[in-house]
Amino acid sequence: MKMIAYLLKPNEGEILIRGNGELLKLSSHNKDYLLNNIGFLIENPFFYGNVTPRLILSYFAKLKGYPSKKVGERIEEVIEMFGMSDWIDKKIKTFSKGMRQKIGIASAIIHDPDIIVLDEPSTGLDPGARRDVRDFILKLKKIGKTIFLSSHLLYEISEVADRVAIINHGKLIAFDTLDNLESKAKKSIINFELLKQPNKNINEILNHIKEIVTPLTGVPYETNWIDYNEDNGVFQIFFDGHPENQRLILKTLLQHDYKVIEFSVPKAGLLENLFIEMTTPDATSQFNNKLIQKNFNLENMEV
Amino acid sequence: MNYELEPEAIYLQELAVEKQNAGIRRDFTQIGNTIAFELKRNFKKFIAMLIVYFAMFLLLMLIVVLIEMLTDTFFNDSLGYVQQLFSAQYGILGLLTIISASIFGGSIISEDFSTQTGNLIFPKISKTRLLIGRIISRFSYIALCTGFLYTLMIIVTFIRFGDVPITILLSLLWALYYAFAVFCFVTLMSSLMKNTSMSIIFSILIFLMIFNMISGIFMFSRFTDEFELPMFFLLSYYETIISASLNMPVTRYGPVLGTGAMLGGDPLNAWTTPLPLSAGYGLLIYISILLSIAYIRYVTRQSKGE
Repeated sequence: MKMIAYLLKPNEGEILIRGNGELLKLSSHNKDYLLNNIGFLIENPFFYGNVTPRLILSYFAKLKGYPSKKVGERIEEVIEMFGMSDWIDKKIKTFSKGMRQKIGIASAIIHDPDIIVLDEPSTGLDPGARRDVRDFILKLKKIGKTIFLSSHLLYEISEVADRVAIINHGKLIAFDTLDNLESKAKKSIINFELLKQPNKNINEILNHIKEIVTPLTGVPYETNWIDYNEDNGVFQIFFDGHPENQRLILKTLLQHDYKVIEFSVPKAGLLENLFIEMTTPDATSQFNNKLIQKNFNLENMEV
Repeated sequence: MNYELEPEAIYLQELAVEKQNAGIRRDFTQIGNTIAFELKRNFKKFIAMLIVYFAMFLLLMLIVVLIEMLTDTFFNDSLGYVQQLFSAQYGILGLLTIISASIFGGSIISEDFSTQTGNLIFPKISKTRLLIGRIISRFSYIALCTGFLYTLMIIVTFIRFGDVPITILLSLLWALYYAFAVFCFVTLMSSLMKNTSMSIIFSILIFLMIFNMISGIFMFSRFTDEFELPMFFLLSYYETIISASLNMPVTRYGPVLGTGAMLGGDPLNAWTTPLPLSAGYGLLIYISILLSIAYIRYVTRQSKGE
């Protein structure tokens, strides 16, 4: 991300950005031109403490060529969008990390770029601030911005991303929509809850469920597993991620008088599992590198 | 693929404004914007420095008054009085110059790396333009502080003698030129040091101690006396032109006060001030070298964690 922002120079390789129809190599000569329509937020932003967010935003907007006469109007728009009106004229040095992150995102979009690059925007934030950042990203997505987001918090990614790229040791090993990743990886987990938590004979219940759903999971018999979490009362069924199998499993459970009140396939867990499977060099794993190469045609791929 | 935009996005696209394209014109606009931003950002420092300058001026006045009273010799012309005020032996102007240069210049480069503010600013503006904007704005404040001190001295001199020597304007120009060289020195320190505090501490330390020690070593080893070696390689040497320019030509080579008593014999001789032409070129060379190294260091330096 820092290399795209031209903060670091690559030791090898090159960065190509489409400018005026053709792909151009990013260099010191053309970086102003090529990065003109991109907004950056690199990690947790640090600001000059003795200034107000309004002054910073005004400065950044002007640097990116936003017309001076309209900067004030634009700042008001962004303040409204991010709900910063209460503290826009206070000194930044008194702000929390979450507030600084909001200004960071605001400063990335203040000049109204079409592409926004957010590098680890949620790192080090408390849950409330993290949710705020997620909501901002969704807002930006809603107004038609292209967002390029990097994060180790896969749950955050799964909540906002249309397409996901997985990078391991500097190499792109997967790039697709979450649904496609799921179907290509042939792996997913169903979470379900029953009306009443089974308080006895849990092993008996698990064995019974395993017996009735195993033929429907679409995964080899020996890799099947069903689990139950006593703390939250959630059952988990490992399956191949196929929607038809998902429907059949639900139907079967209901046919066997299991009073299912919650039935879902969480994407967050999926992404996390996918990541671990794809990046762990395990010979027994069905998601080893060979399979990945086979499933995800990474050549001729345009990001 | 057919992407349909949300109604809100369509509304915002209609409001899209014409932005200034990247190019030479915007480069200058960016420098202007940086100057305006830096002036606003450092305004409180500027006010604080004006107070410091005023306090030092009062101290200087007190010293001069005490000297007059204790030695029972009163100045009877404005030139002698102004020369006394600017006299390098008090070191007030030199001290104020290094302090203000450190305060305004200490953070000029180092802060973007130590506090990682560079991650935000560098993708928006090139380091070259950023540095130019910062140098102009911050040096403007140093120049205003220096101008403020001169104004105070002019007022006091005028009240007392009814006239002010015109050479004080020449002295002001030298003071500004010298202040810029000192500012460049601090800029270099800022490019080399890890953070702002270290830049300030090392700049003041080198200027007030190391330069004086080097000067002392050369003087007491009789280099300046026997070989008539001028200290042109020490930036602090050029400070003397500020007071000397009030009444050029002055005796530029002579005994150094107090050295005779220290050595128990004849005092040591040394160059007390450079020629205006030499000072002009000397400072220019100094500025060029300092700024070039600082600039190269700045553009090649990368943020921590790379």
